[in-house]
Amino acid sequence: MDIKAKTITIIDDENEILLMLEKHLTRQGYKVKTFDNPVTAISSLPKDTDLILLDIMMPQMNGLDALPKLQEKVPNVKVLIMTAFSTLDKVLNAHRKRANDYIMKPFSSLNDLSKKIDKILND
Amino acid sequence: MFSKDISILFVEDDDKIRTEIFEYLKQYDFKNIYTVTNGQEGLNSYIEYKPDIILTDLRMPILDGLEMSRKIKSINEDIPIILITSLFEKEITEAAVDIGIDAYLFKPISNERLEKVLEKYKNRIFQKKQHLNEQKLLEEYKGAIDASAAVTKTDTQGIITYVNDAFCEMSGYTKEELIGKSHNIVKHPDTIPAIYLDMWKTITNKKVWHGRLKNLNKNGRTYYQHTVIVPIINEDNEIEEYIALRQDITDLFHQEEYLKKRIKEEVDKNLQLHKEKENAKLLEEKFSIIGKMAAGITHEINTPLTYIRGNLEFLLNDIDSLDDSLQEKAYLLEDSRTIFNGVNRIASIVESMREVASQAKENPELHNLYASLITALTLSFNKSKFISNIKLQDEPFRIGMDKDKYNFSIPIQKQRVEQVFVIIINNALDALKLKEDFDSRIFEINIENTNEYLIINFKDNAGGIDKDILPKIFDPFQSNKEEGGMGIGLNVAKRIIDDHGGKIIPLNVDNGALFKVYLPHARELVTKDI
Repeated sequence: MDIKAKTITIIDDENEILLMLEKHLTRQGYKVKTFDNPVTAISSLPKDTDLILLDIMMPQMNGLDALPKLQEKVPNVKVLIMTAFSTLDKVLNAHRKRANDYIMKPFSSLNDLSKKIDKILND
Repeated sequence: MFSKDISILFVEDDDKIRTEIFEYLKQYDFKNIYTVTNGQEGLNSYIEYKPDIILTDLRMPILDGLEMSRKIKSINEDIPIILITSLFEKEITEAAVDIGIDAYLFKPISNERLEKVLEKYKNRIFQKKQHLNEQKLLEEYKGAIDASAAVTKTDTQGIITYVNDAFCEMSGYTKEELIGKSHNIVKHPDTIPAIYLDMWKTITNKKVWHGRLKNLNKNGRTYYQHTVIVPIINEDNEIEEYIALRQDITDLFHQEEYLKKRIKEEVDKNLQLHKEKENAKLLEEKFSIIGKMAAGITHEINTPLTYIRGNLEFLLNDIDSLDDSLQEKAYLLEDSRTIFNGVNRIASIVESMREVASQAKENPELHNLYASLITALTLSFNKSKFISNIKLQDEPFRIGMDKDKYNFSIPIQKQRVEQVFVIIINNALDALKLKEDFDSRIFEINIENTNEYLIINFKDNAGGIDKDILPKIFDPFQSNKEEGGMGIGLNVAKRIIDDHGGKIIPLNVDNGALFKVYLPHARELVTKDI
């Protein structure tokens, strides 16, 4: 099967999380691009991004505020929200803004994350 | 000259003398002069006009002057009668003395003599009239006082010498029981001695004392009197006795006491309310601070936990891929798993802090539970669509259902209750996942309305809850899930529903679990101290 590797862009202000996710997803065979802030991500989002892993609470800009701008940049891009602190209104908000799914930090397992990503990309 | 207040009756049979004396009498300016010609007419006129003085001849036809006088004196012995006579006989004199004739005029009557006698009686009649008027006035005063006050008189030693009916009625004692006794007989044992000292000091100084006294009547009833004590001073400027007048003010006193009590109660109540408000405000502030702290801490801990756990997974994989012949491999695996368990435990604790953080102040408002169930099902749809069809109110759930099809409005903290629904739905889905065939999985949600509660039934056919787990299903960390759950969900759900004054009852029914969530129609939310 000669499937072109899917591109995943990760946006999170926490460097260790970027490193960890990059390592994990690269091992899974994805093409991975990371940004430690949403402002740079909006201006330099790779056009071939299939899925964005998006943190919510970031110092420069809230992930939910960045979401429509990112979608504008790459129409039809899929989005998985990651949040370390969640109240349902935030999740509902994410739904309204057309995120495809959300996952709570810490992930119960990396396998769980992979399943969600697979599910979104194959939808 | 006679005042116009006095009337005279003049009885004389002789026309000449009558005319003559009548002319004299006219000079004296009487109020009335009644003139008649015999004793019988004289008696009749006396009875009819009640004159103040009588002037009568002795010898007259029908009824003579003496007999008339006897009859009139038997009616009123105080009436002055002056007898006109020309005779002076022993029998007549004796009879006249017996009857009580007051004076005699001998014929022929001179104007001077008549004036002298009348003048003498004029003064007596005046004094008597005045005395009678005063007495009448005094009687009226006494009547008025007796009707309005309880009166006693006491001697200088405080011994009762007189009591009126009102005092007897008030005290419950008879006159006989009171007279000769000290006033202490009605004194209430609670009375402050200073009041009596002040009273005695005032009245022994010949001054009037006013005050309020608490007394005890014969039947043990307490009564209150406004009392005025007047010392009576004799001609030698010595105190002769005391007159005390009292008015019962028991009702007034009780009203006063009641008002005082009510005012105090109101003030206390308001103070208490104020205090409670202050406490609630403090608690709210505390709560809000803790909520914010919990939110911050949750976020800060979860971030490193995310990469710690991710990297631990890498580490475990790396160790796993080592050659089995390596002696240290088993140790490394064991140690890493211990660390992994510890990290999971931290994650569980932080998870429970999310609830504390999200609890921070959401006010209960009327919401349609049907709409909330659709929200919760929508949130879980990404998961549920791969696991089971869900029936809501006997209708298959689908995205975009009309949220207003049913109205089950109830006051709730909307987000928290929706969180409960998500927890229960996800639990059911996790259980159903273990059942082999997609088509055999059943998950039904129904709302039931009773007088007291709205009851939401979540019913699945996933085999039910383990008998050992059921009694402690709401304890934290009771998860029997292989993956995912922290085991805190139902504990959180129970706390939320408890706060709403409701309850969650888990049952095993028809080879599945039934969670009944009761939410009361009207009930104030329980504010939790934290």
